Parts: sequence; C-alpha cells; structure tokens
Amino acid sequence: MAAKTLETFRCMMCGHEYQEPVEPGEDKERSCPKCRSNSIRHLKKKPPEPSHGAPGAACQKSKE
Amino acid sequence: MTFSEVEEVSGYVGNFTVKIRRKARYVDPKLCNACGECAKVCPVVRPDEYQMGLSSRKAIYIPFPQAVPCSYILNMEDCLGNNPIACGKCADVCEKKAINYDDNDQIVTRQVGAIIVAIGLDVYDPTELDDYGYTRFENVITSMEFERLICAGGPTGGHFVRPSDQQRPKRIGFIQCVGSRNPRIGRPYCSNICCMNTIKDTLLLADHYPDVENTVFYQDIRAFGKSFEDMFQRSKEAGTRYIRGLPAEIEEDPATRNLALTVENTTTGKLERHEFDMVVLSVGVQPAKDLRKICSLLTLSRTSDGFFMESHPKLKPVDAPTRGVFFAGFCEAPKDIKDSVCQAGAAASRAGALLNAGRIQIEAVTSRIDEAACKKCGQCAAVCPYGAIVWRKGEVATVIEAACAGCGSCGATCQFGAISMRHFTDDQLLAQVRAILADNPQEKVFVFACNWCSYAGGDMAGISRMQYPASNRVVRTMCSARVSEEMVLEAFRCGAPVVLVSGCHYADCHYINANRQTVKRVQRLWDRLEKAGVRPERLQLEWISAAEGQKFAKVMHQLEELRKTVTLEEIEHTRQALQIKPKKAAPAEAAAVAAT
Repeated sequence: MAAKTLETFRCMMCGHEYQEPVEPGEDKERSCPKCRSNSIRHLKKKPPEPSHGAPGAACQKSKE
Repeated sequence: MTFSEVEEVSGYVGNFTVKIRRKARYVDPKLCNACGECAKVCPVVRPDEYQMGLSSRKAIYIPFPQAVPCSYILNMEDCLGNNPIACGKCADVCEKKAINYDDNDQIVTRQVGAIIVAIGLDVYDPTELDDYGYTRFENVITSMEFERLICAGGPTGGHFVRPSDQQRPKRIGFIQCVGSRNPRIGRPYCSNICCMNTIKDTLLLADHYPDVENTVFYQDIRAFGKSFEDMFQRSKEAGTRYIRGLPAEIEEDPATRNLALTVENTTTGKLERHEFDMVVLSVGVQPAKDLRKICSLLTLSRTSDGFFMESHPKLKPVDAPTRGVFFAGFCEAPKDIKDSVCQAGAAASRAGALLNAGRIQIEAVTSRIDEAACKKCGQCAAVCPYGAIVWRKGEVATVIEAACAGCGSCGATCQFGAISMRHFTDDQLLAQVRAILADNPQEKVFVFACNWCSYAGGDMAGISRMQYPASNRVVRTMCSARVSEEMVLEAFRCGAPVVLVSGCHYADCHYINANRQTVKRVQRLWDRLEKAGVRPERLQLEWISAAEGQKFAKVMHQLEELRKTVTLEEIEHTRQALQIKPKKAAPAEAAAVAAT
C-alpha cells in the first residue's frame, strides 16, 4: 500500500484551511468539512530552499 | 476459453481486438480422460484453494469438480520441476501421454463486436478483524468455509464437524456483516447476499441436525427478495434465535475450545453472554482483485465502493460507459444469483441487439481534429477517457468517432486550437461568453454548467420554484471538462466578477472520469489568477447533480454574496492583468514594421 502524505487544502468559498492524508493517485471528490463547497484548492508545498551545509549545497561546491 | 486471461483490448464498439493469454495447462485436455492416476503418484501436497484450504490437492489436479474441460492441469509453481525433470512420475503413469512439460502460454487474438464483463467477486478476508479471533481460534470459521464443511462434495463428505476436534458442534453462532456496512474498514456497503445465505444455512442445519442450536447476531436482516421473508420466518420457526446486536469480541476456553462472546442485545438493551461450539463469520464480498486491470483495459470507471460504474444507474444498468461493453453480475454491484442471471440475460440481449443491428448511431457532438493545426503533442489522447483518440509520436492525432462520446476534454486541453467539438466549438462558446457579458458584466455571476447534472440541477431549482438571485447567467457544455482555461479567462477579461465551473459529482460523471480534468484545470487557473494578482476565490468549482436543485440555489446565493464584494476597480484590474500580450515579432518582421 502506497504511503499517505498529509496535504493542505483551502476552501475557496469560506477560506477554511485543513489538512488531510492523501494517497498517491487517489481519486476522491473533495468538499469543505466546514461549508461543503467543492471549491477545494490543493496547496502545494514549496520546495525547501537549499541551505549551506545541505547535501545538495556541498555537492554544488565540489563541482565548482 | 477457460484458464485464460485477457491481456489487451484495443479498438472500439463493433470492432474490438482482444489479446488473450491462454495459460499453459501442461496436460492436453483432448487426450486427458481424467482417470486420476497422475494425482495418485504426485508427491506434492498443497492446500486445496477450492475447499478453502480445509483439504489438500496435488500439484497435478482438477481445480474443482465442475471444471470445464474436465481435465487435469499441472501447477508448475508447485511441481518439483520439469527443467531438469526432478520427478516425472505423473508422465510415467499417464497412459494417454497427455502430459507435456514443455507446454507454453499462448497468445490468442480475437475480433469481437461487444464485450460482456462478468469477472465476479472476491470474498472478504476477516484476518484484519482480530477481535473475532479468526486467525487465533480454530473454531471460528467464515461462511465460505462453512459452505465447504456442510457440502456433500466438501472435505468431510458433508459430515459437519468443527475443525479443532472433528466433533459435531451443537451450538453455532453466526455473526452477520463481517466486512460489510463497516465504514471503519472502508466497506460501508451492504454485501446483499449474506443475510439470506445465513438464513439458508440455519435452515439446512435445522433440517440435517435438528438438535443443533443456531443463534444469529445481526444489525438488520435484509430479506427483501421474492419469498425471502417467508424463508426468514421458517428459519425462526425452526428454532433459530435472532439477536439484534453484533458482538465486540470472541474469547476461547482453552480447555474445551468453546467460544464465548458478549453482545449488547439492542432490542432489550441488556448485555448478554453466549457460549458456542463454533462461530461462523458471515463475511461480505468485495470487488474482484482483477477489477482495476479490467478497468484500465476497457477504460471503465468505478464507484466509491470499487465496483464498476454503469452508464446510467436507472436507464442503462447493464451498459458500461464505454460503448459496446456490458456488465453482468457482481462486478457491477453486490447481487444474488437471481439478479446476476437477470443482468446476464439483459447484457446478452443488449450485446445481441447491438451486433444484429449491424450499424450504430454515433453522438452528434464529437471532436474533430484540424490536421494542419495539430502539433502532434498527443495531449488530447492522454486526456480522452474513452481512448477515442489515436496518436503515435510524431504523427497527427485522429479521432475514432464511433468511440468518441463528446465530452470535449480534448478540445479544452488542446492549446493550439486544433480540436473543435461539433456544436460546442471554441468560437461558439466564446461568443456566448462575450455576448452575456457585453452589458453590465459587474452585475452577473457567470456559470459554466454541464449538460447532464449541473444544468439539470438548475432546471430542478426552477421547476421546484426555489428562490435564488437572478444574477447568474448559464452557459451549457456537455461536460465541465469542455470548459477551457481560455474560456474562464475570457469571462474575466469581459468583466465577470465571479465565474463558476460546475459539473457532475465524481461518481456521476457521464464521461467516465472527464471531470477530473476539470479539477486539474481549475487548480491551474487558481494558481494563474493568483500569480496575476487576481483573487482566486472569484473562480469557483461545484459538483451539482440533477437532483440537487437546492444545492444549485444555495450556491447561487453564495456566489451573489461573493459578487457583491467585487468592486469595479477590481474588475478593471483583472481585465488589465489578464490582457493577452501581443507576441514579440520576429526581427525581420520588426524591421519591416519599423520601415513602414
């Protein structure tokens, strides 16, 4: 069974923001738990910015 | 064609090509006379799947007594090996020389006009419900195992004994709804057959063993078919006790191996303790494990319960959304033998009518590809829920009109304007948008509604005389997936304060799953609007069914409130922010323009 991830959603009707576990590839009709609207926006996580000392940063440095 | 599996299906109604894997049997059914000498000498012993593991079989065996053809098969996974031959005893004793260790799977191709899907069901495995101790207590069995134990062709020859001591049980408890009507384990549906199966079992026991005490624990007894209530009454008259309430837990007495269970009798409100020699878990049923595979092979859709979705639950209950495909039996929904037979007859008739007609009528609304404008990207083929668009890398896409249902998902996806939907072209829809918003756009709520559900939901609100603001203006499309990003943006450019895209609920989509494209598109639009500095809330998405007139009215009230918050300045800012910027001219063109 594929691992579920906790994703954030925002209702575009009432502004309610909530989190829900999501399975990859799941096909589910969403509605706001507060106002039942279907205008549910999936808020995507922003990728973390690389910091000094991060594995990626070290790799970049060595390439230079 | 038995012992075979469908590998691939291509084509469309009246013209399907099916690739079938005919699995290697390692025994020639034309030569085998089922004498059984091979099985006698086979040294491999495995649990017999047909007898629910209550008896054993050999590596060479007949899968079940009524198997067609009545011939042995050799299970190569169990066989001691044919390369090199480690045993070979079965081949030595076979007088007919029917055993061929070098047999291989064969791929057979068939051309068919219609397909009937009747893949059956799987029985719920109660091992996850540890409270009932199915894996811990030998005398807790499932209703399927009970069937085998009481059957004359079963592992005990019809002598009903309990597994722990091979003694005949005197007190039997049946627990209903194990794996059914239980949202906690993701099975909220009723399995339909378990109540009557248990009633039948209690009557069978009362008939064969009058001294056996039967007790049934239930939530509700659903005896709604012809003569079912009569059967239920007969079971009660035969002495079966029916207790309303499901036990929470089963405990075993280690000395006697008897089972004790505590239950709240919801009729009396009292807590009761019962002891039994054997407990039968009346297990529910679930969609067959191959259902997902068939779903992708035939581009079908499923309900939230996991069963196949029919084309229309009332008017086309045996038709699949893909034309030329029909359902029979459990794969569509839990049903008993009688209903399965009825549905099979209906499916055969529907398929027969289709094939006998020799010609079909196609939808008036189908997509058409402009070969000159097609950029050969293949995005249209990727979003078509029917597989009606044929595309190969580097080639222009083509539409199989017989398979196209006219959802318009492809037309809304094509960024190059290469696809037009007959009667719902981009030009026609954009003209409607511009005409509606030509005067006083700030006073209007712009609605795109799908033909089958949302538009009908609006009708329902109207004919039910429901009151809602008169500010909405509706443009009808066949499916919400027909609404392109450009259409929504054009509505905002024309001054719409609020735009609603509405379609069918997920389980009701008339175009298999085309409305999932709507969701993706609206998500992209929200991102795009936000990036352009436009409030994304001004674009709304709703699923409204034909029966939900009340919801339609409620949404219109909400959108009217939202509309009132949008100022004229905001509308003007939106117009400018979404303005189409002229493309930069090529250097040669720029020079020519400068010269003039």
